[in-house]
Amino acid sequence: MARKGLKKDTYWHNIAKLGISSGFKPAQVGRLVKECFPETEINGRHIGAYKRRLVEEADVEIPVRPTTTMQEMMSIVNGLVTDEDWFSYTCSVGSTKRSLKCFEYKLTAELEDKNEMENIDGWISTLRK
Amino acid sequence: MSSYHHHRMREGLEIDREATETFKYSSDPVGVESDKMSKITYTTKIAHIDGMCVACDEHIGKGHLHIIKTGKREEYDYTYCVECACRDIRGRKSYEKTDTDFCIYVTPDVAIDRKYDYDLTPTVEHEVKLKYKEVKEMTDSDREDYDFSDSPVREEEHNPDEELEVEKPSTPHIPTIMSKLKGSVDMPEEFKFADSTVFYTMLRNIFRGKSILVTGPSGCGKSSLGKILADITNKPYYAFNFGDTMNPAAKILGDTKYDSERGTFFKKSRFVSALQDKNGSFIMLDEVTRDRTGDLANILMPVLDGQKYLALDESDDADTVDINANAFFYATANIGREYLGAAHDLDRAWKDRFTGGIYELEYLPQGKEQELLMIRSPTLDEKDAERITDFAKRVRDLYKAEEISTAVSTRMCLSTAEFVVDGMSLIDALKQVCLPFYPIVAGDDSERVQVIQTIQSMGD
Repeated sequence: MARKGLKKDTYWHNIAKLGISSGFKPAQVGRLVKECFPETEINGRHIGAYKRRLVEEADVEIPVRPTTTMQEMMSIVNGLVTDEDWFSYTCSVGSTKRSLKCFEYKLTAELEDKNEMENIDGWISTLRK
Repeated sequence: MSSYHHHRMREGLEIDREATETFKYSSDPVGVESDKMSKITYTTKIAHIDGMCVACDEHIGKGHLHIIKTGKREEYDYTYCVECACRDIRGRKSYEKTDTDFCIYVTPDVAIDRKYDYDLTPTVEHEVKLKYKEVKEMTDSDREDYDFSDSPVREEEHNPDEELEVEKPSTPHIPTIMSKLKGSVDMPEEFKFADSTVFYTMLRNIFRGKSILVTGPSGCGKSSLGKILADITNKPYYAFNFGDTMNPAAKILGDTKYDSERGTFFKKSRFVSALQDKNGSFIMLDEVTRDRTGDLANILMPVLDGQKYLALDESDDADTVDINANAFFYATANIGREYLGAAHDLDRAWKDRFTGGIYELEYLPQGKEQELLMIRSPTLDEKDAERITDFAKRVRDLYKAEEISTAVSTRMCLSTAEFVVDGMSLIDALKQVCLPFYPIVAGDDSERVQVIQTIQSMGD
């Protein structure tokens, strides 16, 4: 039984769909996605999973060999990125950074706390007795 | 010929008919499900696990063949010693409970050097034999097909059974901006202020350039939420707090200055620069209800509505500032009698300008507030965090029942936590932070008395 659930859309799907339907392998499509979205964490594995979904949905016909060259695809895919895709990508990167910042905050807060005790000792010694 | 065979032939793939039929027999000996073809795929990768083989007492930490068998929606990992091919490896008890029918033979060279060409053939005895045709280098194409990284997402061949049962959607699926945002953007760890819909619709409004107004009681996290959204969208952030100004017009437009060389001149405000930022700014208008003159609302009307301009003075030939199409306005306000007095709501025309919507934030639920206290004050005792948030909840309940005029904010909880971390007792910290918000009035049932009683009950 095929898995049912909400279909997930992401900013790199347009490019991946074109790459897959042009007969490129997931790793090559991953390079195309990286070309448009340099900071993305998407790799050949994610593209492979998406390819499987496209096959399951019978959405695209996948040729056995690439129908075009990699250089040509590189020039085409940049035009595929819409404002929506770019905004989603920016937010995706921003949200990851924000989460990391939060963990960083936790870590530095713990470290600062230790230094703070030393600072307080120094500060108390400066007070007039 | 079965549909499976048709499918394989269509793809130009070779069929190991004998293996297929053999396995089919072994998995379904009585032929009940003769139409269904259970597919098993085998992939191999080198795993590096520290362990010891019981049989040959060899350390297998360097590298051994790790086989993943993928069945119908199930995945089993089998680990084998490359020296003696047994599966009884110390320290990996999780594998002991699986069946021991499968066996595999492989030399260390093959496993370590990744030079192999295998033919995994399931037999009636459930024995998987690895037969070597010849050891050869992997081609570039092979490398692309077999990625050895540890990423859990793995490309598999699709199951013909699944293909037969796929239900085709009746209407074509069209991605939307919201679905793309939901699929691409994870909620950040710090976003604890609302549910996911609020988060994603706010992002959508930023994308569409629709201004939003966030209202809620003081200290519930309205401004923090704005900063988080600005960080996520990576837009230049400009904050303007109207709680700290006596002259909103000067803050928005600019002011006259005097210079000994130039004389008196007009200096444009930072707000004007924010409107013209080519990168599309995130403009925070904090505490817009603090302006009691009404000037702020009048000046900002054409900025927030479709006109999208700002006039720098009222003369006929006044300079106007065009607003960048990607500028986004995020306003915060305290609405309610305790903040706005008799006029306890915003002007209707003001509200209309926020086309992205008005979000009414509430205080955090107790669990999330407790989590926030622990994030902001990592050394705070968890029980103290629980008691602080419990106190806040009780006072908020009194506020909802209209027994007291104001509630305890998240900001007050954070201040209390800081006092406690710095060595003050919880009761004293709560009194220090909260009591000044409740007036001293004679009588046993005054607000202050009720709050003191609640504080004291926290000591039990």
